[in-house]
Amino acid sequence: MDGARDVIVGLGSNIGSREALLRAAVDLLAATPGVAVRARSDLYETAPVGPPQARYLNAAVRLRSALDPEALLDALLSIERTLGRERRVRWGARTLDLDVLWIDGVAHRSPTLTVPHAELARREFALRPLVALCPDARDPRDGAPLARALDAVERDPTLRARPFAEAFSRDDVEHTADEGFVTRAADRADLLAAATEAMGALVVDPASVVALRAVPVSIVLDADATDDERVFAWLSEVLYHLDAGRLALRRAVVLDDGEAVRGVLFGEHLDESRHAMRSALKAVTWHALEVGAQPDGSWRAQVVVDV
Amino acid sequence: MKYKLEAIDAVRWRIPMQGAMRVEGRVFADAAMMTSLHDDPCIAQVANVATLPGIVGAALAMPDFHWGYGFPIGGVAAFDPERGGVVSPGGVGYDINCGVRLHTTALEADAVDAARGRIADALQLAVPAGTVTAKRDPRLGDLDAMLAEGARTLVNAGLADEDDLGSIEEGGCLRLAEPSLVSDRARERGGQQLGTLGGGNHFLEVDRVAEIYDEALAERFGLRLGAVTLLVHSGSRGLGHAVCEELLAVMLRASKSAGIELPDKQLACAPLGSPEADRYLRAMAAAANFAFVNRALIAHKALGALAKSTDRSRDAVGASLLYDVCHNIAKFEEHIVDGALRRVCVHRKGATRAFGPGHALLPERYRDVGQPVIIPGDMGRYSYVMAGLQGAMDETFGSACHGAGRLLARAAAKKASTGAAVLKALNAKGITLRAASVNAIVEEMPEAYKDVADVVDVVARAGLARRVARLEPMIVVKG
Repeated sequence: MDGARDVIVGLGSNIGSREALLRAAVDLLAATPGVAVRARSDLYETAPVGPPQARYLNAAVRLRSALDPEALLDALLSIERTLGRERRVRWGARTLDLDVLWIDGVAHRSPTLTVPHAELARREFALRPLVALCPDARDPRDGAPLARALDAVERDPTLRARPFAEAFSRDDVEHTADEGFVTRAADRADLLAAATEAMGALVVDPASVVALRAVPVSIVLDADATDDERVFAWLSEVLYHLDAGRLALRRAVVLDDGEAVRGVLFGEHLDESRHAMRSALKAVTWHALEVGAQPDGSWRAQVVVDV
Repeated sequence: MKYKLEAIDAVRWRIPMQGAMRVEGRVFADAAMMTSLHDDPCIAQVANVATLPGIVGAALAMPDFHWGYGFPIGGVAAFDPERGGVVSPGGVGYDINCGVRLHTTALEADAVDAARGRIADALQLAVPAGTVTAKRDPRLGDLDAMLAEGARTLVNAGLADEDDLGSIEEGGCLRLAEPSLVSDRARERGGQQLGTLGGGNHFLEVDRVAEIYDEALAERFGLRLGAVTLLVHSGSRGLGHAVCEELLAVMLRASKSAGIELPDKQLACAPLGSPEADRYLRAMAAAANFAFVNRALIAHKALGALAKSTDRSRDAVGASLLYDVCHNIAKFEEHIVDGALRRVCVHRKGATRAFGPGHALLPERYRDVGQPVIIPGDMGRYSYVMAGLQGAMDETFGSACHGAGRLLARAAAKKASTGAAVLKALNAKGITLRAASVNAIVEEMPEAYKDVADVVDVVARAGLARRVARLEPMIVVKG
């Protein structure tokens, strides 16, 4: 890439399947022309800045890109729209924030974009992953090492770091006639996304699929629906879309996990000649279904699917 | 909970009434099978079925039974509407009227042997398998007709003989069917999959008759040593799956309001005669009719491919339907219960109807010898044709086993072998395989199944059905 520079993009989410949303955002960044994703930081769970709201999940990625700052911003806004589009229209809040935090050797100021990010020096959740990905990063305006800014920043005592894995954990369930999986996630919304991806992986190896199609999915639950009823109803709806819509699944995100569950499935039209086919699914079963919060606060689902 | 088990004789075991069981459990198995099953969750599944209201006789398990969801696969249970009996979608399964269909042909094995690869390719092309769709043949008319009339739709379209209908369980049509109860979603899922095999254990096989056990019966069934047969295993595809899923939700609410204690949610049920039970039986019957159409259509397309790829006319292939039977079904049948003839709702989940000689529902051509019972084995060994016996009428509501029964979990099979190794072993046996995915090859490898010969042996020794012939696969198409 001629004239390519190192770029750090910050990612944040505090509604829906936060981890799945960040992962999907990295996927979409990697698919952006003129952008190569070189590394990703850990996930940092942090207290929100501003009005009271749910805790944030933050991370950063190091890109190699020759795009000018404004073109990069357009790409980020487009990804935000893809992953929060419904929410922006209907609920006005945001499921995903993408920020150009820093570009090696570039200081940029326009009505729409300031690089380095104007709040960078005051945000531990942005500086920490940035410095982890680029320990020698300097402020292009004065040459000061950003590592020093991290030393000076006000600490969030509630900040928790964990690895940003390639996918949610997924194990096979040994069941004689059918297929099943156990999956885990940090909270219930991410568990729904994790279970969706695990079920999709029973049909097609997600590594052979790219995120070309976005299929919105939503269900409405009874107010007293239990967690297992929630997972059962959601996965049954997803299975309908996989089967009737012939969707090979790459990623899934959940935008809202309340009385209604809304999400988006990303993938492409099933093509036996290109996709690594596994099983044809008949239905999600109640058999051996287990869903719940674990003693350590994480969430776990065990699901058996009739094949 | 660990259940007590008592041997009755060499092939019969009793799970005595314990806990909430209303009748005892009865398992048909030999000692070796039982040893490997002792701690298996499927024993608990038989006992769970025995707790359902209005169950009569015993909760039964055939020798190929294994761990399913709700009912065990290989389970048979009958419920009496006069005694608060229920119907449960869990006693049928998601693949409503999954079943098998066997055609005899005039072809000799040599003729197939000579064009093996060509035939296999032609079959795979004619009958899509796996997660696939197919264009609907306009001659078949609309979906409502299929849901209402079942196999007759093919006769009306000129794709099957009127005569065939007698060789299909229930004449290829469950009259209870109410097409309007099949949702748009179910139609959307299944409509585009008509004439496709599906995945899992579904298959299309060209076999040769390898052994005859009963000359007279074999002749009656049209089975000739060395002749080629065509075997189809498929069901109601996404249409049936969606019907089951939707009605299961209705049944869960019905169980709750009827105050029925469920040991497993997948056993959700409703009292026979209730609007919910009626709705399930009518929708399920419509899905079953769709499956009859699907199997008949698959056979039609496969026989066309067989003719073309062996450079013969359809007439020269000389195909004749031996029998088409359901594996996953619930329906009202008359059986002797406690010494009296009763109309009971028989659930067969992974079990085959096996009516004995003289039964009024058998077509004339088989009435004096008993119903043909088709028992597919794994893709590397053999399948059996049997004939139902009076013993089945006396002991199992006219039922027998439906196949080999899985031994290994799918995940375990994938750890045990590779697609290439399975393929190589099959090739060495002279079996040509075409599969939609490597997964299908490994998960369905012969070693993942019990030896169907052992299963059939128990059925024969228990007097439920008698052996007629053994078929060996030459060409297998898997989903």
